[in-house]
Amino acid sequence: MTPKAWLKAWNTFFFEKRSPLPIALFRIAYGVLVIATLFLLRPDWLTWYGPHAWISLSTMQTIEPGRRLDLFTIIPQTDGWITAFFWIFLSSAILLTAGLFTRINSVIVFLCLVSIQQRNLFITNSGDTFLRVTGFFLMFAPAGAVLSVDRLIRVWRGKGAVAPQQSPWAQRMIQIELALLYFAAFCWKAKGPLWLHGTALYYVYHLDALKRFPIPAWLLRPTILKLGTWSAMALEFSLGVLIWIKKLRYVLLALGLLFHLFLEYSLNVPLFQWDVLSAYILFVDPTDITRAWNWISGGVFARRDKQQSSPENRLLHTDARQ
Amino acid sequence: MEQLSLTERYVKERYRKFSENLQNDQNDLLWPDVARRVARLNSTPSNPAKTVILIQKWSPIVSRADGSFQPEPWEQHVLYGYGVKPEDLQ
Repeated sequence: MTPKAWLKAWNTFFFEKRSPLPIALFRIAYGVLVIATLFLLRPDWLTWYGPHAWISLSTMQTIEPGRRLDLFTIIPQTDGWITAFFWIFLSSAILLTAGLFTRINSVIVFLCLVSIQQRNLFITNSGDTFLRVTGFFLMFAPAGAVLSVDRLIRVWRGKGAVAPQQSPWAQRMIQIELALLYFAAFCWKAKGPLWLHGTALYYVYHLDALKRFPIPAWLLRPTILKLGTWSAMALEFSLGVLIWIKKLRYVLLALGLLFHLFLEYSLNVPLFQWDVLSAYILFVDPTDITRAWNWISGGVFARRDKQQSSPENRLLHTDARQ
Repeated sequence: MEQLSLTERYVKERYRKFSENLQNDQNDLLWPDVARRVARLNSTPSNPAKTVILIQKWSPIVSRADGSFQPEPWEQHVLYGYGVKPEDLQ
């Protein structure tokens, strides 16, 4: 491949305009997950982040010296202010989900998310980290271009019946992030003797603190657990590397979906599986999303397409050239 | 965690994560804060906490000759001891 061809492929991948439908759907899933995170944290807002939290702000600053993106360092350390912070955070997440003032709310949600993680790094899991990283790129994405109140307002004001296609670079970065997550997980596991020997899942499924719903006894046999351990590694490698091959993509996404649903059922790792699965949307072709939506809605929108644009239809519709 | 209901376990998972991190010697800077909070939670004006001791408990899972694995009895050691000061309870 010549340098010119590389450059062209690079530009096509990151900057050739595409439908913003996947990133808009991702925005909704992302917003719901941030709301769910805050809802699960709700009883412990002050326990983890308040002036008398398990870890004090000064201790966190000692552990993590230097300038950090942490709004807790600039707001007064009182119960009232901390609680207000969380209500603003929650409101912003709801507005982001609805797609009202999408850009500014994506910034607020990102800043608040970074702050609560920086305030207490010791209760943060990989799902939180994934939300934080994807939230960064979401700020730059055309996430409110469709499926949003912002879009509805633009339509009502007569500003464009068809949402323009947009440069997908931010969406691509989130896709790369997801692939990296899997590939990094594979690499870490490949370093661990328990994973290579196939015994890692035995330990995972015998930790009472991690158990959730019961699973059949035959699945806990050493041979099955060994197969499961190696299969998990193979799948993580595939989702990290082979996901970019279009022919394999939907098969891998389906396997990944089953994998995460099984983990969600069997292990108590709140929201992690959903955090990761939310980014699967970005790997689905916009035409397939539209097709699936038409199928789900019983062809209602398909018929309207033919009859031309109603406001609801224009919310979904972008451009025929996907 | 094992004693919580499924819903409670889901909501309180961050406590498991936190206690997991707390047992790491590299995170010893956290122990005084934790001891102070434990003291506050377990003090009354008439009966203030004087000492807090953080104890780590663990049970190794060992392989058997038949290929199965079995948890051994629980072991424990004192992670950290803290003498509570009156100002800690404010």
